[in-house]
Amino acid sequence: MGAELKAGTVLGTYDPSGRLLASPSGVTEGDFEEDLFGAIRVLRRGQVALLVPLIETQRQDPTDGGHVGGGIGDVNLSARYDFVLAGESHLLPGVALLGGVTFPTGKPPELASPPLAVDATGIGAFQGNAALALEQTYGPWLFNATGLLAIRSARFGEQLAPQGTLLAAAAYTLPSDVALAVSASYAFEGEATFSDGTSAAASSKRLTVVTLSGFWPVTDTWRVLGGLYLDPPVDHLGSNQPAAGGLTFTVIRSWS
Amino acid sequence: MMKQLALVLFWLTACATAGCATPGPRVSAIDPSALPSRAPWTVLVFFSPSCHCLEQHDGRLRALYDAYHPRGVQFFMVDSEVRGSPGRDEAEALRRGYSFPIVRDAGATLANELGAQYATYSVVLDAEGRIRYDGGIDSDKNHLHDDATPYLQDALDDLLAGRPPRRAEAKTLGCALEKW
Repeated sequence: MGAELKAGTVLGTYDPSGRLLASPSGVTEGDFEEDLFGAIRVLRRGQVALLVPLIETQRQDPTDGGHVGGGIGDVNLSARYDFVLAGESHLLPGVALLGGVTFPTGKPPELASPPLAVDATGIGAFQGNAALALEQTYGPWLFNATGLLAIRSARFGEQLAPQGTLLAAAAYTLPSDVALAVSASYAFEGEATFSDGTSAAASSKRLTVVTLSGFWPVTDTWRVLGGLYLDPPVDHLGSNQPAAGGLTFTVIRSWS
Repeated sequence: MMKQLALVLFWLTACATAGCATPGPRVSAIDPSALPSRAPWTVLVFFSPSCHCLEQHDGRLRALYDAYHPRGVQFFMVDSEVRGSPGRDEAEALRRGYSFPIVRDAGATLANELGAQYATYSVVLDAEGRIRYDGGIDSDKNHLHDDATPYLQDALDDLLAGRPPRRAEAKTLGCALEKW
């Protein structure tokens, strides 16, 4: 079981063409999140996990002033099965399949309070997720490549396009068992469609996230992680998304 | 758009960097003639030269051997890894100061029969090859604690006293064996 605390700030916004626009003067946004999660082994190589996010947003602009809001986000239930364990074969990497459902337990932007919708905490749709993770160890090095696909249900008269995410990560474990990791993810989705079948113009999205993390097993049962994440403020690394950066801190209690 | 990644990263850090637990054996006994020698009791511990968890336990394994070998318990480390060799095993045994041999399990035959997935996985066999205990050496993984539960030692104490082990199975916390 664990908890992740996240605090970030919006640095700008990628417009639909991918151009990064700086936040206007006097406009700020702070994003905070506390994720509670737990995983349990149910098979020799199978686990299930639950993630419950709590989300708070602070926004300020010169017209409406400052507002703070939040609540429970979209809860995710997922499972993982390892067909091949990382390190089990020198020919094949570890192979794991992940699948899950994200429930629309958060408040979507359409139902959030005006004027700045700071209490929006979800997307307002069910999401089915499937992922393939490849992992391999080479001495103290661990490499991971994950591809993830999310299919969403209709919401508020529109159908969001499937979302794909690619993740690559590398971690190095020091003799003290402290591990350092770097990861990069690229998420993308096409244009949404309205219920009449027409396309929502310029609604496609993409976002690149780079994360640096440190992992410290304080004891065999307690682990802490700290990290920095950044949506690089570079043109064309995102579109239709805010570019943010921030810190994460995670505590994990393990019983295995 | 990052929500789905949270659990991916959690599982990455929770399992792959630190090893995982594995449940019990697939069989209840093995053919004792497959062992290098016979004794009233046999301890098998699965070996990986790169496993930090196992290396941390080397001192405890040496102490177990010193305490229980005079009482009729034979110890073998089992190297089921695909890149193992008698030469590597001999050198590792010497470097680690083992008084017991590392035996080759070519093709991971024994590991697969027992369902061994991780280094530090330990099995206690009686003279007929029946599995009387299987699991970790103790409750520690990488960091050794004075108050760790000595699973393997407890099992040997009980069996040598003529009673069933208080814990016939325990979790194994170690590194994946490179079997193929």
